[in-house]
Amino acid sequence: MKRTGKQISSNKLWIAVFAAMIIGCILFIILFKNIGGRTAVIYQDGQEIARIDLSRVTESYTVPLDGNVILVEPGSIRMQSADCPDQICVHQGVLHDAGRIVCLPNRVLIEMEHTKDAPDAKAG
Amino acid sequence: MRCTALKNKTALFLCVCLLLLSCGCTRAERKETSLFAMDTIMQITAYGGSDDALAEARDVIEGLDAALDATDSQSTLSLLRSGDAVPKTILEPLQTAKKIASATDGALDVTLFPLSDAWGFYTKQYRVPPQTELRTLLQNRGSVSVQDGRLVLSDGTKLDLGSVAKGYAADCAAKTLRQNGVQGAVLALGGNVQTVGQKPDGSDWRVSVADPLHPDGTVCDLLVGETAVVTSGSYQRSFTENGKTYHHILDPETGAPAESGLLSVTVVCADGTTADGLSTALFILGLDRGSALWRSGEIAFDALWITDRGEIFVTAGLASRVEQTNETYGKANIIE
Repeated sequence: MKRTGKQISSNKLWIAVFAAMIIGCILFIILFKNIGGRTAVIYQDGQEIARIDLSRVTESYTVPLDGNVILVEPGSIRMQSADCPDQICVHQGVLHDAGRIVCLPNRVLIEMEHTKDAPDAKAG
Repeated sequence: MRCTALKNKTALFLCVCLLLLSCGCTRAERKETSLFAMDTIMQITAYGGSDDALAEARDVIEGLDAALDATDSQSTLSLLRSGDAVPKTILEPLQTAKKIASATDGALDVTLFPLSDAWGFYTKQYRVPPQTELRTLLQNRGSVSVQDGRLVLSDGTKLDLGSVAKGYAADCAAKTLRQNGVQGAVLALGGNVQTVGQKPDGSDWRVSVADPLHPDGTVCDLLVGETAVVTSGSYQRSFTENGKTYHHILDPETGAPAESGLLSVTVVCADGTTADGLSTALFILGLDRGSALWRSGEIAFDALWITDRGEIFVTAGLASRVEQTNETYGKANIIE
C-alpha cells in the first residue's frame, strides 16, 4: 500500500494542528495559573465588600468600613485601625500574597485570593 | 480503504482534541462563603453542587451555634434540664464526647463550664482563680449521662459541649454539602478543618498546620483525602498575668491550664466531632499517654504533636503525608 503525496501532507497537517493545540494548552496553563495570587478580597458580615488586585495599585488609599479602616498600598494591604478593644487585627500586620486578617468583633475579613499552590485550609 | 483510514484518523484526532478541551471546561465551579459563628470565623469552599449548597451549610452551622452555645442562657443546651428528652443535635456530640472521655480517663470533660468561667475564658475578663476556688469548683463538678433518651444531670451541673461543637458543626455541614451534590469541599471552622470528597483535579487536599510559636505561620502541610483535621494548641486563647501565660485548655484533674509539655496537637480522623474532642483530650494527656492511646486502637485516628521543646512527633499512619514547611522545627519523629 503505497501512500500518495496528498495523503502524507494531509496527515502532517493534522499532526501540526494537534501539536499546535497541545502547545497552546500548555502555554495557557503556564501563563494563567497564577492569576489571582495578588488579589485581596474584603468581607464584612460574610458579604464581599471589595476585590482589589494589589499588583495594579499605584497609590495608597483607605477603605472605610463600619468600625474599621483598611489601608491599601501598592502590593500590600493591612488593617489601619479598628474600634474594637483588642486591636488584634491591627497588629496582624501586612498581607502581600497569602494569608488573611480577621477582626472578629466587627466581623471583617481581609483575605488573599486562593492560588493553585496555596494550602486549601489551615488547622489551628 | 484509504478514504476510510483517513476518516478514522480524523475522527481519532477530533476525539482527542475534544477530550483535551473538555478537560479544561468541565471543572466544577469554585464557590466560597464565610461566616462568623461559635466565636470564630468560618469559611466554606465548595466545588460543584446545587446553588443552595453553601447557604444550606451556613444555615446548619448557624442553627448549631444557637443550639449549642453554653454562654447563651436561651440556647437549647442551656434550657435543657435533667429528665428532658435530649434532641439529636445535643445527643450526638454528647455521646462522642462521652466516648472520648471514657477512652482518655476523663481528659475530656463536658462539665467544666464553672471552671472556664472562673478563669474568664467566656467573658474575656481573665483572672487567675485562687487554689481554694479551683478546689471547690472541682469538688462540685457533677456528672452527665443519657438514659432512655433523657438527660441525667446532677444538681448544679452545667453542660458545655464547646470542645466538640465546631467538629460536630463541620460534620453536619459536610453532610449537607454532600446531600446538595457537592463533589469536593473544604470547611475551615475557626481552625477546625473538614474536607469533603475530592479536589477537582483529583489531588490531595493540602491542610497546613499552624506554627504554635508564630500562629500566622505554619509548621507543615498535611496531604489528606476526605477527613477532619483539628488542632488544639495553648496559643489559641490565652492571657498573661504577672509574667505567666495561662491558656484555655483546662486539665480536669487540676482545674488549671494543662501542662503536658505540648504546644499543640493536631488530630486527623474521619469524624469531625471525634477529631475536635480528641485534640483537646490529647493535649491534656501529653505525648506519652496520647501515643499509647493511638497504639491501643481504641479510637481510630492519626496525630501530630508539637512539644514545648520544638520537637514534632507524628503517628506512622500520617508520616508519609507530612510536608514540613518550617526549618525551625526538627525533622518529625515517627511514632510506631
